[in-house]
Amino acid sequence: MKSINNDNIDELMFQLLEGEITGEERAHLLQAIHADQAYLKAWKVWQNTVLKPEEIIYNTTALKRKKTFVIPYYLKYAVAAILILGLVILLNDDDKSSNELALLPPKIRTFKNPLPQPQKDTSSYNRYVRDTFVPLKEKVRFLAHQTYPSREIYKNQIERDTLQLISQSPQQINLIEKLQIIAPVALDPEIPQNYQEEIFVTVSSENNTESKIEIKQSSSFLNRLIGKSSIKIEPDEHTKTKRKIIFESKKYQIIAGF
Amino acid sequence: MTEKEYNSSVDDHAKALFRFIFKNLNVREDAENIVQDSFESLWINREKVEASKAKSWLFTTGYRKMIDGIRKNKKIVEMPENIKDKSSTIAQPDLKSIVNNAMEKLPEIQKTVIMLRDYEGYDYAEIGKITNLNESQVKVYIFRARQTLKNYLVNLENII
Repeated sequence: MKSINNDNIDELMFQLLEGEITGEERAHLLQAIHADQAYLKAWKVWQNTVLKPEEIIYNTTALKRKKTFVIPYYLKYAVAAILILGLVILLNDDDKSSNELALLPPKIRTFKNPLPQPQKDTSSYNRYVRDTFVPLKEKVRFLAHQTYPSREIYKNQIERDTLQLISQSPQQINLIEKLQIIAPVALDPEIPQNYQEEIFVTVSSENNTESKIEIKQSSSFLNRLIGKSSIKIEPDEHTKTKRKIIFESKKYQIIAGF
Repeated sequence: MTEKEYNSSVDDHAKALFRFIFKNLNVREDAENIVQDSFESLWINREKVEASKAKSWLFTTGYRKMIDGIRKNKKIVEMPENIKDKSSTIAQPDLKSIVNNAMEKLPEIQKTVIMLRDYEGYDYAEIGKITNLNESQVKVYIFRARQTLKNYLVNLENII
């Protein structure tokens, strides 16, 4: 058991303070300290070296985390794009009213080639089949984008399909007899024998007595979207991405900043 | 560490960390920034840090940021003269303020270890982890710190 003296007083009191001396030894040491006024005074000083926690004013609210849902950038753009597309479609909707005069909307029929492989026919080939059309005599006009390998084989087929198509248009029944097909066009002979392609026959008609009947032009979705409007992106310091999207039509201007 | 555990860590340890840093730096704004950075770092690393070790992690991070900041800015905080001499000018000064003044005279590392020991109740090993010292070094620094404080207090005979 350690005995306290002037040489080891600091070390023993430090160990006592730090809790390194425990049990019976601690009790013995404390008894020795209390027995001597000088040791007791020194012990009190040592006890005062233990820091007392102070109450600190500190606001912790800013450090806390709240539940957040972060919308990824690409999602923002997607939502913005959908909104803009919706607006564009709405604002372009007046295209319909301008076409209401069309009494006979165009009919586009697609016929699958059901026939066997054609025989080779090297005469009178037209290499630009897509530019070829079949006019109808007088009032009816056929525009036939066709890819017949052989006109001999498919001539009847074209007539049959076309007549069937025209017969479904009541206004044009009296014109069927005037139908005449001129020179269907064959495909390039280099096309493989087993080539199968759809035949597109576009039929439209018009009335020469009045100009009220219009042939409606088939417009693509993209044309409808941007036909009468413009979309542009301009810099904008007030947005997060430093850019804004401006959609403009005749009547409206929509600015979207992100 | 979940979001809930992180928020609990804020409740449990933010004030203690702030006190520890503030007592070392004596500049409230700097201490707030370090605490903020430490918790930001904890949040970023929350998947790596277990909730039970959050306090130790925070104090280690806070201590390192504090040391880095001191080294970087070479910011040596001098106590104002009127505060330094407070104990000698006041007839019956508060013992706590006297000890605080004495604390300011301690070397940085001694101040740090004794605060971690007394304020936070860390043992030598934990203090060693935070300050990157071994246990013996920690014990020596704490002993020297207490001895300096004791000598300071002994000199103020009218107080004791």
